[in-house]
Amino acid sequence: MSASLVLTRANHLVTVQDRGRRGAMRYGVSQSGAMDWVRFAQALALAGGTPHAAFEVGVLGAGFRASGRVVLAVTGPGFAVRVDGAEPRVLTPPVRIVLADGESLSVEPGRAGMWAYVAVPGLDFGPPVLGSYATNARTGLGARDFARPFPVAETPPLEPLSPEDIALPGGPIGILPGPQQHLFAPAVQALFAAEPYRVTDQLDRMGYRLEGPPLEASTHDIISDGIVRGAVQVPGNGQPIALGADRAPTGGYPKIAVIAAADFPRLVQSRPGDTVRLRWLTRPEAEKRRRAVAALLQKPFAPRVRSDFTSEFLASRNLIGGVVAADPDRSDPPDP
Amino acid sequence: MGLMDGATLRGSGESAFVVEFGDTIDPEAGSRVGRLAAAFDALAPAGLVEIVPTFRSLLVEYDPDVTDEATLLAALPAAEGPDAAAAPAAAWRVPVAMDGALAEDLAEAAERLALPPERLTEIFLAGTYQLGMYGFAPGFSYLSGVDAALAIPRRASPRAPMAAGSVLIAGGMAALSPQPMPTGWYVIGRTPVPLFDPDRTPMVPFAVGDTIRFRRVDEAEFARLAARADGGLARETP
Repeated sequence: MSASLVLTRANHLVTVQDRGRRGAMRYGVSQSGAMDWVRFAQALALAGGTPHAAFEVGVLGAGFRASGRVVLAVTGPGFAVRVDGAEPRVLTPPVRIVLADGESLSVEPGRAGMWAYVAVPGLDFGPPVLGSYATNARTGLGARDFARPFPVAETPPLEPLSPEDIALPGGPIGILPGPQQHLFAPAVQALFAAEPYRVTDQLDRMGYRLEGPPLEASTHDIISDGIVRGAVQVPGNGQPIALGADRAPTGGYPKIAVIAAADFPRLVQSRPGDTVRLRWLTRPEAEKRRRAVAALLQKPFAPRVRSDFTSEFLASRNLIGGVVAADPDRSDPPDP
Repeated sequence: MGLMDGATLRGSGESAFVVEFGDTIDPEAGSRVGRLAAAFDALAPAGLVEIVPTFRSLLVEYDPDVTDEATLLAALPAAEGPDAAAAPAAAWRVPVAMDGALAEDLAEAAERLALPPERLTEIFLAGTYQLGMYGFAPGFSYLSGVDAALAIPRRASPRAPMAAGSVLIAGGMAALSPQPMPTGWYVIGRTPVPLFDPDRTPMVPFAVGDTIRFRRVDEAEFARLAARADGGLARETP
C-alpha cells in the first residue's frame, strides 16, 4: 500500500526547507534553507539520512496525519510531539516515530525554542526550484501546496528512537568581524560584546531585531554589498539585526559582525525577551566550534538517558505571544 | 594589472570574505568587480559556494571544510588576462513605455525634480546605464549612470506595490523590478522585457557590467512586445 502524509494543521510558519538555494544570490535570489542548521541536519540523520529536505515548523506548531506506515523524525529544542491514534503518547524531540495508518502527530511549541524540523524518509516534496526545496517566505519561491497529501515511497525499516539532543557549545554567542566592522569605532565593537542584547518580538526567517546599547557607525548607509547568513547589520537607530535564512542577498546597512555558525542555532532558537551575550571570536576559534558541532552530528545516535527535565524547561520563562504577534511583512527594512 | 591590486579584503564570518574595490558607485570599481567575478567563474575552484558581485565589491562564500580564503585567492591568475579588459560587456536596447498608467509616478518625480515631465523622459532616454548588481529580490536590477539632474531621494515611506517590469529611479540610481512590490522609488516607466525566470538559463537577461540604453515605445507597442517571449529586448549592433 502506498503511503502519504498530509498536513492537517499548517500556518505561515510551516515551510519546506533544506540546506538552502545556492548560486543565485548574484541574481537577487535569497539563500533560504533551515534556520537551525544543526537541528535540521539531526532530523535528516534521524530519518535515515535519505531525505534532502524537511518541514520547518515554527512556534505555531503543525499537525500531520499518516495514510499507511510513515516514519517521521522530529527535532527542535523545547518542542513536544503528541501522537494520536491507537497508542496516544507525548514525546520530546529529538525523536523518531513510526505512525501507523490513520495516526496523527502534532508538533507543539513548549516554553523555549522557535523552530522544529520534521523529516520523513521517502517523502516526495515535488521538484526542486533552482536546485533547492527551500521555501522563501517573501517571494514564495519553492512554496508547496499543503492542501495536497505528500506521497511517501517505500521507507526504510526504521524503529522508534529517542536520542540525546545535540549539545551545542555554551557561553556567549560567538561573533566574527563583518565586512563593515571598520565603520564602528573599537569602543563600539567592544560594547557589542560587553553588554547584553534582548531579542525583540520583531523576528522572522529574514532576521531578528535585537535591542540594547546603540551601536554607532561612521555611516549607517553604505553602497549595498552581499550578506551572509548570520550577518549583523546596524541601521541608523543603532539597534542590531541578525539576519536569517530568508534575508535579502544584498543590503545597504553596515554589517558589524557575523554570528559564528556553531552559535547561530542558539540565537535563532531564542525567544522574544531572551537576553543574549556576544563574544568576538577569531576565525580559527569559530572553526573549532563549528567542527565540534559537525562531529557530534556524525556520531551514531545513542538512546537518551532521561535523568530529569531539560534545562531548557527550567531556563525558559517566555511565552509565545510576542512571536505570534510579529508582523510577517515587517522584516528587514527594504532596500529600494 | 593584478585582479586584486588595490583591493581591500574584508571579513564576513568564518566562511566568506568580501573583496572591496571602493565604497562608492564607480564604473572602474564595477568593472574590476566584474573581472574578478569572471575569473572566479572561469576557475570554479573547489569549495567555492557562490559569489555576489555588487557595484563595488565581491562577496565570496566558500565551504570551510574544503577550502579557505588564502587558497581561493592564491588560485587567481597573477594578472588579468590580456583579453580581460577588452572582453566586451554586452550592450542592450530595452524598450520602455513612459506614458499614462505605465509611468505612474512620472509627474510626481518630475515635480520633485522641478522638471517638465517631457524633460525628465528626454534626459532618462539619453542615458547609457550599467547593470551594477542584482539584489533585494530575484532579478531586481540596479543601474548606474543616471544623470545628476534625475537624482531624487527615495520616498520617506514606500508607495503601493508597483507593477512587474517597472522602471524606477531614486537615490541617484535606476532599477528594473521583475515583480510587484512596495517601493520607495519612483515608477517612471515600464518595460515589457521579462526580467526573471527561474526556468531559463541564465535566469536574468543581463550580466553585471552590461550596458543598457532605453528605447521609448508607445502603449500599443508595449502591449505587442509584452506578448513576445523576449519582450522586444535587442542587442545593440556593435
